[in-house]
Formats: sequence, structure tokens, C-alpha cells
Amino acid sequence: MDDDLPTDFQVIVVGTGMVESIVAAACSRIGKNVLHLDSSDHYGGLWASYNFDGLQKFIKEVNSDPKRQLQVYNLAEKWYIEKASAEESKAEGEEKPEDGKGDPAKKVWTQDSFAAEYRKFNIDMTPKLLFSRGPLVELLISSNIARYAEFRCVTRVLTWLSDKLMPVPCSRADVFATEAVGIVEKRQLMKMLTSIVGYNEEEMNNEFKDWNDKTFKEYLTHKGLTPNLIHYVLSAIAGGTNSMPCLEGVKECKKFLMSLGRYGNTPFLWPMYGSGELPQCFCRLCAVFGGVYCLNRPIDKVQTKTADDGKTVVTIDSKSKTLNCDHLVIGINECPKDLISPEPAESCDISKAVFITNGSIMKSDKEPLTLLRFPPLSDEDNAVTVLEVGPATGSCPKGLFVVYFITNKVKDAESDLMPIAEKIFDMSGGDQTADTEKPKCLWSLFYNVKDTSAPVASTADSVHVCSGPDAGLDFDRAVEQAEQIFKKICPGQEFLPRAPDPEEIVFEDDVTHGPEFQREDEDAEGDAPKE
Amino acid sequence: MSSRKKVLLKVIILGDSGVGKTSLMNQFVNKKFSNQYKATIGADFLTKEVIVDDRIVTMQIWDTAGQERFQSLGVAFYRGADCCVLVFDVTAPNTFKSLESWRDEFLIQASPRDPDNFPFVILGNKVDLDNRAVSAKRAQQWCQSKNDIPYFETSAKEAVNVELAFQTIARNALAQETEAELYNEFPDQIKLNANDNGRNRDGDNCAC
Repeated sequence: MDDDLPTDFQVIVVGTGMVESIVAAACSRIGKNVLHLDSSDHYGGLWASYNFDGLQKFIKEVNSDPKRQLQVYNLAEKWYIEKASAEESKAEGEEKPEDGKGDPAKKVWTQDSFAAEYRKFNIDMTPKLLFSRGPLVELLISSNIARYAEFRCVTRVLTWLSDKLMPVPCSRADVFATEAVGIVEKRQLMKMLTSIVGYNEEEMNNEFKDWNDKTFKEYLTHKGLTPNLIHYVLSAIAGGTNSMPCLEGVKECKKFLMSLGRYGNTPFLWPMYGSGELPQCFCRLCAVFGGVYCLNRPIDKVQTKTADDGKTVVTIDSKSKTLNCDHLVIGINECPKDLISPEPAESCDISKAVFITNGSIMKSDKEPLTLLRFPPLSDEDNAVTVLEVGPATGSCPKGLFVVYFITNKVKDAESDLMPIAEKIFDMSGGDQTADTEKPKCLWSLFYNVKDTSAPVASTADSVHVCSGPDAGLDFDRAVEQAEQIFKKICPGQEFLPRAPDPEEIVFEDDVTHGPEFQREDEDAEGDAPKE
Repeated sequence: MSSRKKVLLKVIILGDSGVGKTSLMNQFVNKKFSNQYKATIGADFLTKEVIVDDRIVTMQIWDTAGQERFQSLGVAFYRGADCCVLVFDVTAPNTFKSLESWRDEFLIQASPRDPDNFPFVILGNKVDLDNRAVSAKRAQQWCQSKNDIPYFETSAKEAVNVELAFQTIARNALAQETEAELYNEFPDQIKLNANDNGRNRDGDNCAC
């Protein structure tokens, strides 16, 4: 079959990470002839989601391949449960209440029962949220790619305050309902948040003209907020630390507040089955418009040469075949080093962890989907983003939760994140049916990811390098970079114009060209992509 | 159970390149056929309303968009399928041999709740051609050996059995869907669209 692969394309994209996939879709959408390759047998690269089996393979691959460890390192996997079920091993003589097996929700999990249900896990390498009015949601809607995906709303935002988990009031209703802040504080908070959203640019410049070199915390203190409220606004809403610059804090707050009330109680959406679905949505659009897909296709060599007419051609050797294109779009981890301009000196790697637990970090009536922003434990530490997802998101079997930790690396993933894990989970293993205050951690994985999120220039004009995942909460940087790369390849062209709905596609009986797309004009204003 | 609820069935069509997946969809939905073969471009999914036992059912039939050509369909394509249609070309034995691996691939990737009873339908397409190479008997035997998968011999070109096959697909998918509903504890996934304000809570969208 490989022999059928055509050799000449306008654009070849190597790697199916988020940025690469968006660029592939955008190029194909406006009529470029696109080939999209990936060296592995699945989509997403470091942005992928894995079932439990796939994740085990990933861990093995990384641990046995020093080259992969340049991207992902310090992998530490640990089980807190038995290999096989008690009935089989009959090892423990503990007095377990075997009568009627107790609460059915308190299933006793074993490593074998994880393996038996491996397909029900979808574990993200790069878990991220979408702001309900952020650039990715707007792009998915305006391009009509939204039809390939489904989402769930994050149901609550939590913070860590006075050594315990606390819900953060997000909406007007929340603010009034919460018992965590007093009446006077409620008014202060409302006034503060309303004014941040309400400022137009001029008012903004006016209000903040003297705050350029000051911190957001200083601003909030200046406004007379109590320490409690400062914590809510700074840590939970703006996602910042004491050193967060004032203007950045205001910007982050505004982004949070603007996304409230569109889809649910919080500003955030989580993709069903995990973030790894999203690159695939863009790839499908690329394929629908004629893009050719080929997984399991590593590349060996990339060269650029100037043709007789002065145009640059990029040639790629792959499985003893030579592929030619005008533009090569390539993920940074796939890109030969000689094509990358010297790396930026300053970069901070990412510390990550995944936990599988037998309950939510904070009990709730309906299954929660939680964002927790954990403030730094000390001045040397960084804030940690915690995402907890349950069975309703397609992330794990019933009775379990998957919890992700993400932070900028200080020492290594385990040292950076274990202290926080110990605060919200019971890491001691042991009897799963015991009624503990904190959920039991059943399995954990710590790892570091090299930071490849800074935009990188290439040594050739027709080679475009895509960044890897960043430690941020959302996909905004990926979307922004993809649009920039697209504009370089296709200057003056529209970035992902709306794809027609299937009903609008007119098939002709004896066409020699592709099907035509006809857009319905009857309801022009209803089609307005942005609100 | 509210049986008057609008039902949407996701049907996916698999099979080797060139067996006529897109043509079958197009014949069923648009009553059109083009002799001009080209690898699938522009085909995404087609929807058609059908009536099954007095119920109006919307079938959403998903094409591979050509991603099957180099075995590069991603897991996202398979999510939430209610029925899987496997197509081969009766004039090309290789496409018949591939059915087994397409079926396996589907079961692995889509991981349906009850793999043994998941509804498949097999279509032997292009029966209008003279150079037939896979006999009806051989195909039927294979289908029987796989838990009695329904088998239809079709011609997308001459509209042979296409309507009947898709009726069966809808019926079997619906049976699966009704069963799945009982298990669907989390019904409120969000679809994004332009004028959607989601579950807009009373006057709460201006931040606090």
C-alpha cells in the first residue's frame, strides 16, 4: 500500500500534535494539497490520550529509548494496590467486612481489574481546558470543526486555603450563595470583578497606568480587598502567584470572567475522551478536504534545495521514498537539529503527574469535573494546576477518577508534586473500602516534559517548526502559533473559513473535479461566526 | 422511557479503499451515483431521516474521509458508533479478506460496551459487474460464522438493495441505541455552535 503514496505535495506536515494538525486543516481547507505524516501508530504525539494499555506501552517505549528521554524523562510509575484480587491470592487475613460487600461504589480495585478495563481509560499526556469564549472555542465554531467533538463543562473551581479545599465562587449566584465570605466581602468582590470586566481599553489604560511594574497582589491590596478575597482573585481566578504582574493578572481575570455563563457554571470546557481528541478533529477536516494521512511513517532526512526557477523545494526521505513539497510543517521533536535556529537559552521544563483514585478530592452530589489551582507551598515553588475528571468524561471506568497535576519544574516531577498529592490524596495504599476522608490513590505516574513550547525559527524559509505542549491551562498558544504558521504559508488567505455542512454539499453526476460547496445565503446573519 | 425523543444514530462505514463506501452513502441519501472514481474528497457525513417502526430516526452516516487508505483512522472517528457497516467489493477478493481485520479494528478502537452483540452489517457491493470473484455463499458463510451478521449484496450504481440494507442498519442500530440509553448515565454532553449560549442560567452571563 505504501507504494501508492503520492510523492508531490504543496504542504507536508510531519507530526500530529495540536499545532501541526491545525495548520494541516487550515492549508487543506483553502485547497492546498496536503500530506500529513506521523512516525507513530496514533495521533497526537505528546498531545495524545492513551488507554491504559497504550499508556503502558508509552512508558516502556520512553524508558527503553534514550532519544525519547530528551522529550520525556524521570518517568516514575507506582501502584498502590494488589496485583490480583484477594479471592485469588487469599493472602491477607484482615477482617474485611465481606458481608454483602458493603457499598457497591467502594469496589476493590486490583492491577488486574485495571488491565481488564483498559479501554475505558483515556489518559491525557497534555490535559488542557478550553475557555468558553476563548480562541479555540471560537475557532471550532467558526470553522465548523466543532461538529467532530463533544465537551463537558467544568462543574467547579476549587482552591487551597487555610490548609483545606474550598470552592471558589465563580458566578453572581455563587458569590451570593457562598458561606466562605462575609457580606461586606461579597460586595467588595462583586465590585472588583464587575469593574475589571467593564473597563474598556481607555478606562483600562487610565486605571492601570501606574501599575506597569507592580504586582497584581499589590493592586488588590491597594483596592482594600481582604486577604481571603485576594487569595480567591489572585490564585483561583487569575491563576497567579504573589509575583504575578498587575496587568497580566487583570488580563487573566478578564479572560476568566468573560467566559462565564456561556455553557455552565464555570468558564471552562473539557473535551470528551480527553484533549487528545482535538488534534484528530482538525485532522479529519484536513482529510475531508483531501489531505492524505499516513501514520507509522517515520522520516529519515530533510533537505532543501533551490529549483531552476528559483523556488525552494523541500525533499523528505521516508521509507526509501522521496517526498517533495513547497512547505514543510514539522513538530519540533521530529525536526532535524540542523534545521532549527539556536534554541532560546531560557526555558523551564514541565513537571507532571497523573493519579488514579477511588473518589473525588471533594465529595459532591453529581459527578464533579474540577479545576483546582494549588498555590505555591513556599516561595521557591510554583503554583500547580490540578484537573480532576471522572467516568462521565470517558476518562476512566465507573468508581474512579483521573487527576492531573501540571506545574513548571523546580527540581523534578516527584519532588515538585508529591507534597501536594499528599495533601489531597491518601497515598498510603491499604484497604480501599475504608471510609477515609481523602480518596485513596491507586496508581500514580510522575514525569517531566522538556519545554519545547517557545516558538522556534527554522534555518529555511519553507520549513516551519511547531512548538510542543506548554504548561498553560488552555490551548491558546497552540491556536495562535498555528495561525501564524498558516499565514506564512498562505499569505492573504482566510484561516479556517467555515466548512459547509454535509447538506450544503452538492454532488454532481458526472464531475471531473471535486464536489462543489454551496453555501446557503438565506440566513446570512445567523451564520455570523462570532457573537 | 420517552420513545418520542428525537433519535440520532451514528453509523460508520468501513472497508478497503475503492469498495464503494462513499457511493453507497450517496446512493442512499442523495439517490445519485458517479462512475468517476476518486479517492474520497469532501465526503464527511451524510444525514437522512428514516422511519423505523413508526419512529422517526435520523441516521448520521460517517465516511472515512480517505483516512483508511494508509490505515490511519484515529480512535476519535469510532467514538459513539451505534452501528458499523463493513463493505467489500465482490469483484476483489482482497477486500473480502480485509473484512476480518476491519471488524477487529472496529472492536478495538470503538470498544463497544457489549462487543459480542454490537450490530454490524456486511455489504458485498458492485454486484452489477460481470467479473464477480467472491460468491454469495462464501460471504454468507463468513457472516454466519461471526454471530450471524446480516449480509446484503448491493450495487450502489444500480441502487440494488441499498435502501433495504440501510433500513436494516437503522433498525439494528436503533435496537442497540435503545439499549445503550438505559446505560447512559451522563446524557448532557455539550455540542458547540454559533448561537448557543448553552444552558444559559438566568441573567448570569455578565460575569458576576
